[in-house]
Amino acid sequence: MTLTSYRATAIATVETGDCAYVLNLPRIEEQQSPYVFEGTAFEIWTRIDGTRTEQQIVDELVGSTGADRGVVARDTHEFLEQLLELGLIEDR
Amino acid sequence: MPLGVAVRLAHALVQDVGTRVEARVLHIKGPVAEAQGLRSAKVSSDVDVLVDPARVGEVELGLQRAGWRRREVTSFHALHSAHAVSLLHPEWPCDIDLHVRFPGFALPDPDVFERMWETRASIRIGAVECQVPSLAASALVLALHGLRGEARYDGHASALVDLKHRIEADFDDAFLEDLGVEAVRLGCDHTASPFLRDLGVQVADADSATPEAREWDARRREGFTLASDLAFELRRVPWWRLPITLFRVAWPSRRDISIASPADARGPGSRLAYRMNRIARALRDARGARRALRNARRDGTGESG
Repeated sequence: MTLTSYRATAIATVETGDCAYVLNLPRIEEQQSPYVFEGTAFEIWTRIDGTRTEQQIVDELVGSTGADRGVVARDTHEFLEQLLELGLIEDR
Repeated sequence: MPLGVAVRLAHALVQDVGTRVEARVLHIKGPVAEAQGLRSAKVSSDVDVLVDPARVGEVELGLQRAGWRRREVTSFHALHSAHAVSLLHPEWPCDIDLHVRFPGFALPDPDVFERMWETRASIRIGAVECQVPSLAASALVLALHGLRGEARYDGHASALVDLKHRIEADFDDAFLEDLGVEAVRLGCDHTASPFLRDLGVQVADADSATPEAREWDARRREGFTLASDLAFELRRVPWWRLPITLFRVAWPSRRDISIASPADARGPGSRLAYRMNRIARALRDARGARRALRNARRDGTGESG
C-alpha cells in the first residue's frame, strides 16, 4: 500500500477529458490496440503520476466519491495489479 | 476508438517502430500541421509519415509485427500511388500511409528526405516525441498537397486557402523568407510557386524548372486529373509490361472491381457496366491526358514512352 506507482515509460497515451486511451508500445506485438480507461479506471489512471502511493489514491477517491473505503481499496488494488501485469505501470 | 484518438496514437506507434528499427521518420500533415499552427483543428482520417526511402521496408515490417497489413489496392491505384503504401489494422479506424516521396518536391527521393531531416523539429503526439519537418517544410508539404488536389477536391482547395490565411495572419516576414529558402533547398520553388507568389515570396523563373517540375506544371494545367496522372505514370512502366498494364487499367479485373466498388463486382452484368463506365471515362479524359503529355514534351521534360 505504500508503493508509488509510475506509468511505464514508452507508452503512448491520449486523454480526452473523461477517458484515457493507452497504447503499450513496448508490448505492441501482443497488445495491438489501446486500452480505454473510463469512470473509476480513468480516475485511478490519472492519479498514477509517480508521486501518489496506492493509499493516497484510495484516500482521494473516497474523498471525492464518498464510496465505501473497503470497496474502493479493493477495486483500486485489483486495477493496479492488472496494470502491473500488463506492463502499463511500474512500482518503484 | 474515436478517429482523432486513433490518429494520434498511430503517429506515436510509427515513431516507436521507427526508433526500434533505426529508421528515420518524419510525421507530416494532420496533427503535426495543427500543432504547428498551419491548419485549423479538425480530425484527420489517416496518418501520414515520410520515411527514409532506404529504410521503409523495415518500418513496414515493424508495423506488420504489430498487426498492420497492406491495404488492398486496385492495379490502377497501385500505378497512380506508387509514392506511398497504406497499412490498415482490423481494430483501428485509420490507415497509416508510409510515403517515400511526396509529389511536388522535384529532387531525388533520398535528397528530399535528407534535406528535410536536416532542419527537422519535434513535437509530442500521444505523449511520444515525434520528429517532424521544420515549420517552413511542413507548410510546403501542405501547400503541395493542396495545389495537387485543389482542382479535384473542394477540401484541398479550402485547406490551401486556410493555410495562406494562417500564414498571412500569424507568421512574420522572417518566416516568409524561410519559406522561400526552404522551397529552393527542397526543390519545390517552381512547383509551389502559385502558393509562394500569393504570399509575396520571390520564386524561381519558369525557365529554371527541372524536368520533374515541368511535368508537375503539365499535370497541374490539366487539374491533376486521374487520366493525366495515369498518362505520366504509364511512361514509367517498362515497355514489356505496358500492354497488360493498359489492358488492366481499361478493363479492370474482378478483383480490382471488388476492391473499388464491391457492389459492382457481384454479377457479370454489373461488372460489365462498371467496365463500360471506366472506358467512357477514360475516353472522356484522354484528350486532356494527351495534351498534358504533349505540353510536358514541348516544355522539355525529355522522357518519352
